[in-house]
Amino acid sequence: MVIDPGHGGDDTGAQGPSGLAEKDVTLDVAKRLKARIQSETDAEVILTRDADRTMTLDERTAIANHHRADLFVCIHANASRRGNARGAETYFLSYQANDAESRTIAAIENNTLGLEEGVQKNGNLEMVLWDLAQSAFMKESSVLAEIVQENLNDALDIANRGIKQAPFRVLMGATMPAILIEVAFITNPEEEKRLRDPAFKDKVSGAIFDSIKRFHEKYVQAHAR
Amino acid sequence: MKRETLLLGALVAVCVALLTAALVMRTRARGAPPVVAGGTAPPDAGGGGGAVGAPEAGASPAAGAAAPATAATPAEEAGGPSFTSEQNRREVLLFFQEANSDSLGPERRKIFLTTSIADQAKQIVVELINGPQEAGLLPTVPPQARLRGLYLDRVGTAYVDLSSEVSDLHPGGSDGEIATVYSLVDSLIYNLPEIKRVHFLVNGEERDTLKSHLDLRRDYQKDLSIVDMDRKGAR
Repeated sequence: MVIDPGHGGDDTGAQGPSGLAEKDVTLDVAKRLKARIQSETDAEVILTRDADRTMTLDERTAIANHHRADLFVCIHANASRRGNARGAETYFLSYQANDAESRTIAAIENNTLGLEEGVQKNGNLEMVLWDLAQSAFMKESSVLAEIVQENLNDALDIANRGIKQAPFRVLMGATMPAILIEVAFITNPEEEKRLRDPAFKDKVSGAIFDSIKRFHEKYVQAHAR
Repeated sequence: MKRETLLLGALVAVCVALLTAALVMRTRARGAPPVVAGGTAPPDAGGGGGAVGAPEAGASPAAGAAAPATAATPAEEAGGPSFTSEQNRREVLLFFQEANSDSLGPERRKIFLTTSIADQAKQIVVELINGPQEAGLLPTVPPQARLRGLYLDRVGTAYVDLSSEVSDLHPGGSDGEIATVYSLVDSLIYNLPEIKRVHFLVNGEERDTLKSHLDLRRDYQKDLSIVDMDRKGAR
């Protein structure tokens, strides 16, 4: 599976009131998760970045696709202008064929002659295909998100914000179940403190690890039989 | 002798005519709203009719002058009617972040009732950048951001072009980005049904994201599920 620590390098991500950087938290949690998985299973785990490095979102998705990963898990810390916003939430991609896409699809379908030319002219096509790529895994992604959210709630004693959907750039184009986890609010002073705590980060990675195991049992093994 | 006088008279008449024409054109150029009024916006492409009952002649320069709140007002010199009375204003709901909930909460505000939808849209965006005035609501756009332009196409897509501060000074986070995007999208489409979808530009260009989360290459449609109309979370 591929684990993606959010942000990195020039992209600091969000910042806590006492200066904690999201990019450092995500990398730390991702490394702990990788270590946990490798110590208890023989699954192959790849981090999109294992250092403080600037990466585009496309690169991250491409790594997961290139390695034909079974899962793509993005780790983030949340931010809000409300200092009191708190809790964990898990996202999967929302797929809403917007008008531009519908028009593109119509244009492609109407283009019976010279398909290649039509494709080249159509700037939106790439986007449509990327969107459709992840939409094929929507069910699995939502199940994984549900399991992760449940386990985070149980393990962390943190406000349950539930599973949500949004058109996140990094999830588009992933050709496998893909989720984005917002572990806690780095902009909340109390939660920032927890995000500095190694024990808390171990709990987070433990909860995600348990979720992946459960998901694997539910889906991958069931299909293998 | 008589002939020369006639010629001279004709020459004077031509000069006067030319001068008058030049003056008229100059006045018109001053009055032409979008370029002079400081925006990069072309004239409203989205069909400005409909909003005002009886658009009068000469209303459009004044509309242009009234729209961008921060713009210098050279058009005023052109002597257009001024929009100060209550009947030339309309109420809109602006959606800001509620201080005690995840939702966006509405705040009522008056904008100038201009004939052009794009000009009303510009005022809405500028007011959102200015931030909330009521307690219990928080801003959703960095106040340093500027509206560089706003264009409407014929199928109801509003292209909102903001300066780079909208992303450079954005605090980030999934929730933070969702609040920013839907504050703008919902405020525009809720108040101006002529707008069907919003497409964001940053410094005149398409961007992948604001701060690595929401995909900005797509159009956004109204989603009021994030809006708390009763403002329970703002108390």
